[in-house]
Amino acid sequence: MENRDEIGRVKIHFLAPFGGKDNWEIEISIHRGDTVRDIFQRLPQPLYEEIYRKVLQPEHARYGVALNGTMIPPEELSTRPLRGGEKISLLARLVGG
Amino acid sequence: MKMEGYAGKILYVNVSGPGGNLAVRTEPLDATILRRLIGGRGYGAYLLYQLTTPATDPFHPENPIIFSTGPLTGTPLAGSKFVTITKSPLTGGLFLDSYSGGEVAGEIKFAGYDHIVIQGRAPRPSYLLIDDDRVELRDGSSLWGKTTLEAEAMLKKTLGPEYKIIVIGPAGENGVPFSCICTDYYHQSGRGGAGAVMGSKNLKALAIRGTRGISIADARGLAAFRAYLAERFRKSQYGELRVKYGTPYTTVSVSSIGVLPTRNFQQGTFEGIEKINCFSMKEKIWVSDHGCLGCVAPCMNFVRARKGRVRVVGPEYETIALLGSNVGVDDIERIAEFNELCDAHGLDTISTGNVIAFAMECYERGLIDRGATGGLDLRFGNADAVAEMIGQIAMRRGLGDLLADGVKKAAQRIGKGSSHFAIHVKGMEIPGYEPRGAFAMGLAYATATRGGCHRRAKPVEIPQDRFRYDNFGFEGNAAMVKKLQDAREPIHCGILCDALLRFCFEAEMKDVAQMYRLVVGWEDVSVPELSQLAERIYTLTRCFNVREGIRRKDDTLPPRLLYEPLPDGPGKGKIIGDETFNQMLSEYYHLRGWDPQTGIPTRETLKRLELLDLLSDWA
Amino acid sequence: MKAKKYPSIHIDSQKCSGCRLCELVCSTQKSAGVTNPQKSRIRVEVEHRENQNVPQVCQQCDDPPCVTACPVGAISRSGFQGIPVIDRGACTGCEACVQVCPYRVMFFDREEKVALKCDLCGGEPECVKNCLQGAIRFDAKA
Repeated sequence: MENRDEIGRVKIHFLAPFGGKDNWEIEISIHRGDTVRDIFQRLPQPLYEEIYRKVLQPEHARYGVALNGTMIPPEELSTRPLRGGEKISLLARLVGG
Repeated sequence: MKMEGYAGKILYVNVSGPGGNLAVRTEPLDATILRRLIGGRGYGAYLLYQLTTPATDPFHPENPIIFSTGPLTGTPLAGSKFVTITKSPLTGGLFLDSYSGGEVAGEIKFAGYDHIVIQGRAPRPSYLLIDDDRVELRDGSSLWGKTTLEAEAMLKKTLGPEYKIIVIGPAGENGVPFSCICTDYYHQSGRGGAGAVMGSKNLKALAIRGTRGISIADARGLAAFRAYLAERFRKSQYGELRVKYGTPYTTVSVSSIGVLPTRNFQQGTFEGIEKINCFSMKEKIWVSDHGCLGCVAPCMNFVRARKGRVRVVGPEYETIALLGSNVGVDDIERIAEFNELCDAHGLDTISTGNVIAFAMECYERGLIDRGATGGLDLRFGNADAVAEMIGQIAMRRGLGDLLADGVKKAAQRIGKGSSHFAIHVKGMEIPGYEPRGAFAMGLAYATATRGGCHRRAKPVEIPQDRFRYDNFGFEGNAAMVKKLQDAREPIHCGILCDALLRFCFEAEMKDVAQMYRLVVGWEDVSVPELSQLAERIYTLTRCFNVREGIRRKDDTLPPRLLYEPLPDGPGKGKIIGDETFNQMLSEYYHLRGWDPQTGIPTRETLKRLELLDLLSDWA
Repeated sequence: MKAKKYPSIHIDSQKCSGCRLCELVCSTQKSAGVTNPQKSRIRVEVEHRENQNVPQVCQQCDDPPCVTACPVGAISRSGFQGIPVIDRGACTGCEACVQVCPYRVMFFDREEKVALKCDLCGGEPECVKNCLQGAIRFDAKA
């Protein structure tokens, strides 16, 4: 059922192991004023807990969040409002070539 | 004296002499310097320093090619490696250390040697057979001209599968200064032209078999330590990802921060990246995992591409970057094909991709035309042209002959301002990290021992709780680069795989100390001792290069990377510039104890690091 | 499939990466601290061009030809849970067992001139302990 407050939808692309697998995506609806942190909090509890543990809680997380392909600083996760149509990616900050 | 960890011997071979009469002798390791330099890069650097002078041309018979191991190589501890040490024909004779996994590393130790030093020039194409104490120079004329894969298969068929093989391809035979050494079919000592040095000795291959053992000081302790490492692996942040995707995962992280070299370092992001990232690789071409001797985290990818015609272990991240985004190709199957072509011909994928991209930019700018390219439409993205150029470079045909001398010389010959975008340091082509998106990487390239190299320090996406630094400034970068360089030294003496230790075991220096304690029996080895060893070896290799004529002015970046901003990504619009670069470099010299004007290690530093007696000719 | 009478090492070569850590730890374990793949009781056959790696180790046969072939009775069922083991002192190095083994997993120590056979390390095989890929597993008696 459509959410009356929905102003758009965003894709969350897991590019590192979350929820037991890597390289998978979901699409969810966003409300006015939603930040990335807000939409994470609406994910199923086990998934949110994993994201909290790996990405949100550590001051210097080993995983990062990219918005439309570019990594964003942790502060923006709770300040930058989403508009709809964005692609949010969770990835490991693993640089090992 | 019972040697634990070590084999205890250096094999010296001179392949000159008529009728294949080999000069062979063995020497014991110098016990008085063992603790100071351990093995691998450290001890090998000392050997190279002793055996050469600045007058020794890399292709002169006297330039040794040294295959070095360390006391940890071949032990049941972690992934084993060996290092190829010689004077590089790519950088005008600077120090070269090029590492390789596979099985050969262990076999050198099992044959009874810690280092194999080869000098001279064989009278005709030959290969060297080493079977424990038996060392023979054999006729290699039927192998000459063959690809690395063909030659290795022929040797294994003739000699038996217990022989482990080191081999060069046609590129090495043709003296291409970025030709590589191949081993165990799928592993390479890629950078700096060691293949050409071997080729100049008329040496096509080494075939090595060993039946000896390595004594472990505390085998029970080592068994318990393995369990400890396995537990750290299980709990690690990135271990699972490392095994599943290998180095190609870097395509994901690097493109999110805009440091992916694209179209000859004109951009830091590539629009086709999703077609060539690790997920595409895994989905489209991956078959199975492949690992090195003794490694519990097999990270290499055996792939099949182009309807099964291409079978190769790769592509590693560097190959996806330099022979993918950097040449504008967005097809992972073609990249795998380029990888196989380079491996078969015996070419370094990094330098090859870099120099082809340079040629593409010259072509698009009209600095070279279809006459020069032999009719080839050498535009970015033309995958057929890339494949063609790889062959031309290896065989020194057409435009390939000009590019085969490396990007620095190619730019000098083409002229017309092309040196501005010849992306190298000291002649060695820069690999897959755009320093304008991570300024410390620029310092790392400028101060790496062998030239434009990412394997001494890789200060990209380092979490700020490990080091405080300004990603787009100079603060903290010098200290970070020095510390990252130092961290590798005790591992590159070992020699173990530093990626395994870092990403899978999250090993700290104290863990490395414990490795030496358990294998070699050095009860009192400590972190401060290994830290000092690290500084000693880094300065020793610097002394080698200084003796060759390197000074501060050589520790620099190409003009595009120093003066132009990136047009995209988080680094968009930011310029490194002379002021920031010089601040980083001066601070780095200060931390290393090198003269701020010249970059020459001071006498006090050499004394403090216990190096003076090892550098007999130091003024 | 017939029920197993004796414990053995089960091989899943699809999972083998060819790292040969099993050879390194086996030889070290069996020689009190010397790593030498030539003395390992488990060997990995590495086929490079298809990346097929196959661990090879004694299958602890129900009806072992090696026991019968030995002319001096040096191989007997006196090992862990009755598996055959070699009495090093009695072995004359004739290699009859090596020739007769149908799986070619009886190895020979060319230095000491004795045959080498897996004895499951008395019930806790060191190779299995160290294989993180799961290519070799301990298969207990049925």
